Amino acid sequence: MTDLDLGRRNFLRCCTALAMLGSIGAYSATGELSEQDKDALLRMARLLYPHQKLSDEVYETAFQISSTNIKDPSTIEAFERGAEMLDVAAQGNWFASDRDAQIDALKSIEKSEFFVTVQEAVRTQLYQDPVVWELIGYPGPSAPLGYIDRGFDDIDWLPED
Amino acid sequence: MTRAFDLKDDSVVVVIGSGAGGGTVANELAQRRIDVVCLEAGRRLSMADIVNDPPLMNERMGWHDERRGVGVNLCKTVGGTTMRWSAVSPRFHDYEFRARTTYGAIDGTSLIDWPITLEELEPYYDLAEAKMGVSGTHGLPPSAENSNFKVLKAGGQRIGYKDITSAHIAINSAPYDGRSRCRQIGFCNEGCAIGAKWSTLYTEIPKAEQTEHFELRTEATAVRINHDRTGKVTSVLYRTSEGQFHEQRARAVCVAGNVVETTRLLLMSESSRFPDGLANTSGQVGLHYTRHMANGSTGLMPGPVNMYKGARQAGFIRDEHLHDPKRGFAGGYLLELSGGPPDWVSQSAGWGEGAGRWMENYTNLAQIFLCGEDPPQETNRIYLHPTEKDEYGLQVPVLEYAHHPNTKAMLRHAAQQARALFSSLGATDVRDNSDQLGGGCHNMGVARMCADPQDGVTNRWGQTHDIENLFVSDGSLFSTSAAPNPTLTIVALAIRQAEHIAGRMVRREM
Repeated sequence: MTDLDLGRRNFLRCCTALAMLGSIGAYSATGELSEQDKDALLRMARLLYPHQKLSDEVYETAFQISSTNIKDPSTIEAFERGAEMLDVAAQGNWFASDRDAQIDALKSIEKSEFFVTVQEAVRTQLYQDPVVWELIGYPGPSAPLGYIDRGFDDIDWLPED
Repeated sequence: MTRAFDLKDDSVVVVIGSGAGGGTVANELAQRRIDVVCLEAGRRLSMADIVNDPPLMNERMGWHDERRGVGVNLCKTVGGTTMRWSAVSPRFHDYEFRARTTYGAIDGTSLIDWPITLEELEPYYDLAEAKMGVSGTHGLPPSAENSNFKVLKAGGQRIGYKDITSAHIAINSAPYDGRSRCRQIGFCNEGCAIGAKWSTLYTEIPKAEQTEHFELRTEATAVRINHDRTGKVTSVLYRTSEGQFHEQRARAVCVAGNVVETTRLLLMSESSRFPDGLANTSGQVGLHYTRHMANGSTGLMPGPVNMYKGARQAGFIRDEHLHDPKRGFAGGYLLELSGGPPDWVSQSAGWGEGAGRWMENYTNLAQIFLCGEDPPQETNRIYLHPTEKDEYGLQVPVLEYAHHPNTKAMLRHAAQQARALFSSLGATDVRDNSDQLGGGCHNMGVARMCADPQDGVTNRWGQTHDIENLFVSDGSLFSTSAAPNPTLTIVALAIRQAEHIAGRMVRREM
């Protein structure tokens, strides 16, 4: 199946995440996501799955909020509404609140479609990213060698009994 | 030496689907010199297409057509969901074939007994295990114990379990049937890149092609089964990838679309004689849809496990696979090994500070998959959406499913046991996957076998009660779900069904 090359695959992945978000919004009036909203969403992604050693760029990629990726008006609208929802939950400027207040606000909306959609998109994208794999010690593909001669059964800390 | 049959050739058996049920029944018929045309909606992958990349493999082999309601996790490719399965192959126990008798009446369920017994199916379980190269059977050693399995075993022993095995896995534990042994690659669910896991793509299908009694047509989606005035099925209408429609004449038809598509095809084939759907005079097509009690439990262990190294589900504990009402529910479950890449495991992580820390300890995680019986309910069902059509103009299937209280009670018990198992080895943080309503990997019921035609759709051979030359050959047949993963039983039933069909044809009864 040679037509499914890497480029198309990444394109499809990107579209899936964006489409999930786009499906929960109407059309944006402005056509562009504000820098404040981007900052808020990036902070949200970091609070969902905090890894100190990861750069903002990794979260931006996972969230698909870099300016080159967001073109779809309905997705932008969904992001804008989500950022509004965060402010409402924080009873003020969510981004300017302290960390605990930000987390409390997220907890209060964790059943919302916006939260669930963003969490699912960030989670799958983040943990499919080889940069994250390196951080957590996952080496990725193993075919054709596999681990049969490379420690598939080398656990050494189990109790003897 | 693959054959090409004429569309007007009405001596062929048309098999719809090429997975565990369809691929097996097709090959078994072809081996008995019965001509078969197998229609598969998906494409045929080559071994070079099978790579260690879960999202890419999902694109290549997943079934992505529109569906409503609860999610399912099935494949549209030659080999069907045998490309994705983990190859866990326990047999059913005797009591599970007598579910209604054993459990008694349970409010809200539509339990029945199977119209066959374990004793009747045992010879076919033997044949299925030999066909599939199930480890620990037919001279094959048990599967190799990987580190993740050793955690399951050690923890299981600590909490008193005795029946712990790495056998009964349909992945070659030694070279077998012309295929290599498992190399502990760890990407079982992306299609096995070396063909060590049993899949019909590289076993049943090529074997059938060698008989000269078999033709596989790929990217051929069955959309309607036609019948004549006497009520026998006569042909199958299918759509090609170019959007053309062809009608293949048939002597008999076997439907194996992995439950969802089986239901859809029968219901779409309504006629003046069968106004509620083909073979549906009982009104039972699509009902009693079961999915299993299924959940994951993941423990943060005190040392490295590296669960990604090795076959994902090569072993299980059977001590809870029994009916013991003292536990507070009917039926039993298995504690099975489970593992996978980070995005898979992250489903159990939750979110927040703890989730990040937990994922950074990925190498120390061990995982269990809990799989148990899910009693049938009339309200759990698959049907056609009254108005919504997919991109091909076909009615979209709707899946309605909710857990019965019995399944919820079993979920709680199983989660507690898994937690105790990990904790006995010093696990500090055990997280359950939020229940995905059975996950949608195991689909059963909807055309269940039954002694009384009012209770279901098919008889003890998987022949529809209404139509003597129409058969169902997939998990739709299951009278009840039982606890074990369904594939081994699907294959055993398909072998038995092929023998039955061939016998009737030889005796000129069909």
